[in-house]
Amino acid sequence: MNLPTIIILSVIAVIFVAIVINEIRKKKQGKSSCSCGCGGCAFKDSCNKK
Amino acid sequence: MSIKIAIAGNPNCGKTTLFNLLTGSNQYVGNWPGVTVEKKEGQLKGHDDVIVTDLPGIYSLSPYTLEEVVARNYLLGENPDAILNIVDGTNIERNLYLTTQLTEIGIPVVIAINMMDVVRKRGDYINTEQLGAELGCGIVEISALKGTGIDEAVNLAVEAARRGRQVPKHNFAGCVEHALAHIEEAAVHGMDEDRQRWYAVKIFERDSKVVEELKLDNDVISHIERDIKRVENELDDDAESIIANERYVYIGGVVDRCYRRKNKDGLTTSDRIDKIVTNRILALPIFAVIMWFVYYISIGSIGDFTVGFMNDTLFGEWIVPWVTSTLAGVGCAPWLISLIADGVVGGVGAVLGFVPQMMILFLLLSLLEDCGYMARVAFILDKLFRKFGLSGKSFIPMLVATGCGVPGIMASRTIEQERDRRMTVMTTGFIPCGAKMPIVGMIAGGLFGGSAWVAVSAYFIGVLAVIITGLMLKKTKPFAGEAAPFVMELPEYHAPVPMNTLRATWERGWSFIKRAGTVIVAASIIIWTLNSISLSGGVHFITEQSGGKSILEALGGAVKWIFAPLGFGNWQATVATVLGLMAKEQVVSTFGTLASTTDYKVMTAEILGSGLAGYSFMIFNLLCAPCFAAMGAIKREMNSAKWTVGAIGYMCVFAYAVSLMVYQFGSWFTGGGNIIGTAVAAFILAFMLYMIFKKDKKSTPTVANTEKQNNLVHK
Repeated sequence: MNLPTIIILSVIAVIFVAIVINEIRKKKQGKSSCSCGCGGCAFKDSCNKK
Repeated sequence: MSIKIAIAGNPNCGKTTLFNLLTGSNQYVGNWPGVTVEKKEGQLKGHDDVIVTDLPGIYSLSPYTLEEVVARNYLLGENPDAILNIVDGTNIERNLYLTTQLTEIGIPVVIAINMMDVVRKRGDYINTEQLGAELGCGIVEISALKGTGIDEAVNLAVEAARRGRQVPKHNFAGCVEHALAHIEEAAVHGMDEDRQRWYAVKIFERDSKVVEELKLDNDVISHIERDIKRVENELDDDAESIIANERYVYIGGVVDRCYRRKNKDGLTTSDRIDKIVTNRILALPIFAVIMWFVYYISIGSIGDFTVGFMNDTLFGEWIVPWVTSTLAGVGCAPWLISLIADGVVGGVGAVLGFVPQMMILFLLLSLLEDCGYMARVAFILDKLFRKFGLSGKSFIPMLVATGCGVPGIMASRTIEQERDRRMTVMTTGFIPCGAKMPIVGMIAGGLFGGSAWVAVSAYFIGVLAVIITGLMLKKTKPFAGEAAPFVMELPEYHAPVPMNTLRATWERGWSFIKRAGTVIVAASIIIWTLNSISLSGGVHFITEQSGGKSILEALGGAVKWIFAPLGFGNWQATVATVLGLMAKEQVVSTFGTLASTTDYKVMTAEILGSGLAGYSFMIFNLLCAPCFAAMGAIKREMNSAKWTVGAIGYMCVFAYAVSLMVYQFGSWFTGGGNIIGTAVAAFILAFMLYMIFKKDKKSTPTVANTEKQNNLVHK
């Protein structure tokens, strides 16, 4: 494995781990993971109660 | 010490628009009643010590709906310093009904008459000085939409909060006042003086929640009951109706003295439009034409062009070749180039390619909602829905669900009857949400040349699934009984507010893009990895030389037979369908990762083959179990593991049955046809028809239901 491959693979791995951690954190905070976005939602307060 | 101001008023009178103006918030504003279900708090702009609370829209302070309970619990329990009562100037009589109740709580009330621009446009005149004097409140004319009179209204509310105490000006008939005086003396004497009248009126109305809250002795209750009965005999009506009638008589007098109408019995522009749009014969065809036009623009003509550009040109010709050549240029390993170009960019690009199409769809739906048409659709469908055993109120969650199923399912909590609510939770997921639109766009564009008919059929198949489910399940014991009547105020038509529609469109679209950049990226990496590693003959990376069956292919291949009767029994479509449970966007993303091309038309044809198989695939993915987030919402709203499993199981079975029938019957028209498959499909069709046309054993309404219905109708 050459250096560019290691660097780019590391970047991809960091992004992947960051996404997974962020999703787990959001879940723990009680934030919804739906796809409509809270700003456009009439029920955001009910959804993010925790 | 901070000042708390509560914004209260009827549904759809402009409270949230005003709240956004006062606090600089970005709360969702919709032109249909019932947008706000929970209260929202914010700090008044430029006043650190003033907190503004936006309450759900209510017609009265009775305890029959969730919104009324939330609003009255706040007003009585949290003791705001002032109430800013928003009154719709175009419909002042009914709005003042709530005002007469608010003035009895003892909290200072300031009335902001909204939509004054419309009142003036109609040539009507409101003598606000006299109206204020008659009601005993400060009055300001405002237009929340145009932002006029807002500062004056809030300054008056702050002043009223500092002054304190509100004395109601309205007196009931002599015998009622006599009974109220008795009740005050017997039941609420020890209470804060400002509150005594409101509680006395509520006890007179036999408000169950108030009686329960006060924990009155049986002796006191029977003493009060004698007084109430005496008034009921004298006025020949029940207590609640007596109070309601007295209020309306009082309001009628006030309005006669303070409101001058230019066109007393004439029709407004909204009335004229409604004569056509809600016409009993024309309403449904007009709705169908409008929805066809919406899907024709968003998925067909302009939408198809944007998807073609995004997928074929932007990703296919520019981004993927650039990424590939750049990575190759720096000496990256070929497998890493494949991971990034085919896995991540291919997967995410397949989803992002549909963003412009979705934005156009959301924009058009927002325009319809903001101008007031969607509220009419709820009215139109109410008649249809009730024939099939569903409440018209079910349409509101479905309207919300066109954006996302999660808030749609949550919106069902405004439905009072449990069986109607459960039915709505089960059926809301049938409506194609934003995340399902890429599937529709992919099938319509990839296999049917961007046909608007295919796209619009996705919406109407959803509505039809709701109706068929209503018809079938109403014959079963848990759902038997009449649907509750649905009373909804139709808002005035108005030109859509560009800021509202653009913001709603952007919020939905941006959220979709964010998910593509997070969840879909992670999922694409996993899918590419599982599709590049083989376990056969030891764990190894699949190359042209090594070959082998990938983990994903092995997993998909093991269960693909389940979908074979539906026409898409290959491992790629199976994997995409299963991964769609994580997020529906993932279906298209999986296609992008697994296909050998970025051209979405070639990609769809490569995996699904025929148009019929593609249509069956689309139907199954639209109607089957929703994504995990929506399943979580179902679990929360059902509050029962049994009902949650039942609802999700029903959706899967129903989706399977419909797709099976479409594919098996359709095969006979496309030169195929399987005897066994067709026989099973015919059996399912016969069972569904039996359930649809089976005689309904209607349950006798209970006393509680009848009471509730009477109250709803009364409103």
